[in-house]
Amino acid sequence: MKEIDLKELYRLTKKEAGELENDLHTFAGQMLGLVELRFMLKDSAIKQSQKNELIAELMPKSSKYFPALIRLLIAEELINKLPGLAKQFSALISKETGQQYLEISSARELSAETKKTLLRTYGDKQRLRFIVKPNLLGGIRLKWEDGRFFDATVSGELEALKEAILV
Amino acid sequence: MFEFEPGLMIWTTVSFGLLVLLLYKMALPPILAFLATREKQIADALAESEASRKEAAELLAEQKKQLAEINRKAEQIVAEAKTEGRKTMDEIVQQANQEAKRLVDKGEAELEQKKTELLAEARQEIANLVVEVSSKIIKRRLTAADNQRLINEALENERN
Repeated sequence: MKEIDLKELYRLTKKEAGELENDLHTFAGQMLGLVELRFMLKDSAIKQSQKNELIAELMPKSSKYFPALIRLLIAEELINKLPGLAKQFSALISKETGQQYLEISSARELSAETKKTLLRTYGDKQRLRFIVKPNLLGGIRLKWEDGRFFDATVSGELEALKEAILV
Repeated sequence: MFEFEPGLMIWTTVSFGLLVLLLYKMALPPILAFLATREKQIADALAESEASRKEAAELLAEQKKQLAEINRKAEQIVAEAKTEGRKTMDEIVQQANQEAKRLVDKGEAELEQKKTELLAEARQEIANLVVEVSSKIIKRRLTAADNQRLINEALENERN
């Protein structure tokens, strides 16, 4: 069975591993949210160039190694394993650096000032991973690797409202 | 006119006496025998008749007894049939009542279940609708500034 050597990937991307980790999780989130995207990436009738264009459109500010890695995953028919690979890659980085991650999800790209604030507040003890999830609608969500959770998103509030209606 | 004649009278008396004697000797024994036979026949017939009457009476009594026994048994059968019928009827009524109660209970339980399901379904639909509509409105109206304010407030809360 074909596998991606994550250690080799980490060795290659060492300096940019954090950025690649962000991109992998962001794209995995988009794949999980869009069934059509999963089908399109798997569809052999769609040309690779068209798939590249689509990825570029979805991830305009991706890191250096991200497009090549996605192309490889598509070619090796491993693209559906991307969410799992992203988690494994995060775990590997945590192990190698001794730093746990803090996943910061927001509906839109965070401003540079907010990112600075977050880095100042949390960046010394853990590495930060910024993820854009449009379905959060607004606000911010912090998720630590050890399972702690802080949800201040609009979608979280709506879910709470839904629960309140159902009880 | 009547004339008394002693000779005729004597002869007549003698003749009559001879006739009586003759009858006594010749006719009386067979008559007596006939009468005795006849008496015996009558006595036998009477005895036979009495026996028949007695037998008939016994037979009648026996038949009356049997009839009474039949009547008693018939009445007993009817009484038993009535008791059995009443018992069966009571059982049927009881079973029918139980079945009716079971059906009513089942119907009520099903109705309650259906009501709960419909209510849950309605709540789910309302909740989904509320979230869907709210999401659309928020998506359209939430500005970047609003979003930034939400984030700032959230981070402030998290730090505290």
